[in-house]
Amino acid sequence: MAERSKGQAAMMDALIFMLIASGAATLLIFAAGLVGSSTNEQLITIYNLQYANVALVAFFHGQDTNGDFILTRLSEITALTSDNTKISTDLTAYFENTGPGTPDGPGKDVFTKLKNSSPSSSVILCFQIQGREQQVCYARLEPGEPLGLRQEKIDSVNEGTRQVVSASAPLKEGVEVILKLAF
Amino acid sequence: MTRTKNQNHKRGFIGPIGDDLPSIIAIMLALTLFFSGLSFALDAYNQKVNSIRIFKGSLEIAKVFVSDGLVIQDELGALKETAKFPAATYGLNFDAGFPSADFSPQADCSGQDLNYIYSYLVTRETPQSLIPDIFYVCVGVKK
Repeated sequence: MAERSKGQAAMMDALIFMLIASGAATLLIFAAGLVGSSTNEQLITIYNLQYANVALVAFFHGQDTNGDFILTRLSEITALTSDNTKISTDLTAYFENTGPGTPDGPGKDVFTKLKNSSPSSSVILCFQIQGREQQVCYARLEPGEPLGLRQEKIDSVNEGTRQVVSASAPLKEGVEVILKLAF
Repeated sequence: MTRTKNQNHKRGFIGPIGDDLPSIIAIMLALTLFFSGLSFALDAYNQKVNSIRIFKGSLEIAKVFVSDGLVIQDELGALKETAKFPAATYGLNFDAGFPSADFSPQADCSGQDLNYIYSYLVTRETPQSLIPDIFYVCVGVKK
């Protein structure tokens, strides 16, 4: 085997040094990015949780456009019936209207504000009633959207395919209200 | 044994630096790469730390106003005084309020270089009503 000259050995050393240096630099850049992004995501989650909890408390304290407490109205809607479809219809009437051309429900304004201030793309308000498997949920339809889309919006949040941040509180005995923000 | 000038010429010796020039170039390149990587990483890290500090400070400031979910219109001035403490700790400026004739989050906040705008749904308490309303907290870096 031919003996390696001094020049060749120095060149080899330099190349190895270059390889190590570039590896170290890449590692530093990667580590800095990783630390930064994970901390930032945690803070965004804290903001989302803070938003959801504050918004839910606002529901508890607030009055609708008729001057009634929203909490009381929601308790009434979820109290009198064992039929989930009836509750959904009543929720739509309260937060929107009963159909085209009908007057706006007294809760429309508050849900619009909730949607407009939310950091998420979708806002769903759900009720977990004791003894029932499925939650009763309300999602807002935008003007021109078909009726069937409401259930699709609710399913897309409840099926766990999207990132969801939620806040919950007892509405009354046996009923829990859950505010879900889906991203 | 000592090397003579003639012997060195025969082996292609071009001087103490010239002989090692190819490896010096590689070493210089490696050092440049390493230090530019280090400086880039430090710069990215500092930027992240700064944005995290602003975000954390913003959450602390917002907490003063919205933690109860209820903002009493008449106590807004007192809350702003309280929020000055976390703002000073994080080196931030802020403004907060409900949209009104006196406060427009888009115009007023960007006019004061408060570029981070956070919105919350809170209950606005006035002597007549408790209406859920959008509350804005705008935050910017103190210059």
